Amino acid sequence: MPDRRQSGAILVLALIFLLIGSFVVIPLAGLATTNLQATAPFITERQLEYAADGAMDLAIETVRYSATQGYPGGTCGSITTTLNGQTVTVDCTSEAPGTSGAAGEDDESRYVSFVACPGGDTSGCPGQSFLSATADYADFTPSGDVQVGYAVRILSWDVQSANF
Amino acid sequence: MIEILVALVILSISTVAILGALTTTLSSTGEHRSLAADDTLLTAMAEQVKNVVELQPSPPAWPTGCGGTGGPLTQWYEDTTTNNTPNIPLPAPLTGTPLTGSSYYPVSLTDPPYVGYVVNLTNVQYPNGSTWTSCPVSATAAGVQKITVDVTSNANITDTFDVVVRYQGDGNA
Repeated sequence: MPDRRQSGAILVLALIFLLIGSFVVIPLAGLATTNLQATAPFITERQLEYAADGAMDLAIETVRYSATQGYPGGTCGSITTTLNGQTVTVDCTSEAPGTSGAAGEDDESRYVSFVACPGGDTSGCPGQSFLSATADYADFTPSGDVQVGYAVRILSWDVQSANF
Repeated sequence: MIEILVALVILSISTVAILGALTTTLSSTGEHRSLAADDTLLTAMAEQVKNVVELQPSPPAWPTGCGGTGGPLTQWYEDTTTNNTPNIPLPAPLTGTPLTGSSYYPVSLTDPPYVGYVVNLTNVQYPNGSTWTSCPVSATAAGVQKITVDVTSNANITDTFDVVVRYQGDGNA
């Protein structure tokens, strides 16, 4: 009769169990890690988008009532603010009214373009912008009286990805 | 005997690792779901505020006065006086129950998956250059307002979010 002792069999079975267990544990750990890692960028992206949106509204309204900003050939400046923990800078550029060809542009108004970028960005804002907009300001009342910032129309509002 | 002991140790470690991984996955999935729900609710509330204040064909009169905690502007958003018909209703189809008798917000939500969540609109502020302050620094600075949206989950975790609205009408705000 050959020797059929089962010495060592349980150890082999335990090692097989360990191997199978590792096939389960490693993907599960990966899934848990992915969930946790994905959460932070989602929240940051939402914060950035709303910070850019708010900073853009602030810049548009600031230029609206300014007697010096946004006029052709003049300065327009920039504004930096922090919302939702995200610092955003909005740069504005004065355009010559009636020359851009933008739909609805008004010959008698200021025409201003804005870009929102990460605060402190020195790498060239248009290339890094996550929101751009153009606004048309009417500095006259319907009766023809001069009133700076009487009305504003948003001609474009382009959201780029905040995921960079 | 030693062989059995070693096998038992290996089996124990494997079992603990598998159970640990399952527990971690379940808890992280739950956490992720909770954060996603919070995020959805915060975004919905932010868009609701912008929708009501800025985008209606006949928007409500632009709210005025000092904001901050307890200021009349903040009270307008909290709806201190007409809590049965809030100025900023919850986004449909959500419904809720005001937690105090004197204002609509904070409001406890009553619809799945947000049962027990508390939403609040607080601390409305105006711009002051690049910062924010409770009272408008000039007549023309009153046209932008920052509203803080608070969402507290039924796990008692609070997430805070700021949304900005801009005066859309003619003339000064």
